[in-house]
Amino acid sequence: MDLMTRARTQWDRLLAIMFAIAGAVVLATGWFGVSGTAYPAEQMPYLISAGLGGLFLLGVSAVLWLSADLHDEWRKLDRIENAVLSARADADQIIDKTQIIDETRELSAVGVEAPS
Amino acid sequence: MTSSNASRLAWRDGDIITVAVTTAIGLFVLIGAWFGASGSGSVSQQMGWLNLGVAGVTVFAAGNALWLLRGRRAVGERRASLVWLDTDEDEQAAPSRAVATESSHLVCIPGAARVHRADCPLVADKHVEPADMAGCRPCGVCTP
Repeated sequence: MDLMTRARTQWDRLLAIMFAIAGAVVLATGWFGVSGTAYPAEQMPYLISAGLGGLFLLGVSAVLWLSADLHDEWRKLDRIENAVLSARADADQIIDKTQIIDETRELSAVGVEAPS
Repeated sequence: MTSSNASRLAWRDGDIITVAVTTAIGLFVLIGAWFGASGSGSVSQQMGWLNLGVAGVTVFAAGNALWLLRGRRAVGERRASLVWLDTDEDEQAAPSRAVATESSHLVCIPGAARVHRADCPLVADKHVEPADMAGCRPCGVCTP
């Protein structure tokens, strides 16, 4: 699988990584901003924008990643369900054929010709 | 739930709307709190904006936590329905819980009320005595 195909199929995880990087950068920027001034009134906007904003971005990243895991599991369950249903349909078909063969044999045994 | 009525996503439309709205509200409140705090000169006024920002992040976190819980629950329910789908077929093939025991020789554990076949797994490696069905209950596993 090449990089573009991987990016297309795993877009949610790619987005999660990008949000995590953005969150880390925003937190680091906020830290530099806060450490550059001694006045709490100047530090507070950094705390709100970079501190809470960084947490927000990291939260989005975690939710995207966990949602991708859940979506993968959902698709896997889809495949398992299809396999179970198709196996059941095959088994029903085999049982039907076996019953027809048995009935034909019984009719032959009593000398009646089975309808075609 | 079968593949015919299972949706493509683990979430319903209402869950998508909830997570989108709470995330948008959280972001909007956070940006508003940042602008408000930047425009205030005193720390006491900024504390109010900080509280508003924390509230915004809380709204976002609650909406997204609900989203994950709903998804987890949907996957769990689907998994349970698949287990039921699989065992349903097995039960049709073998309706009783009886195990494949063939011995017609009946035994019982001294003092016990149930009679077992000699090769029943419940009496394996135990001291048993020959028994008959008179006045005794049959074992539910080997069904003598």
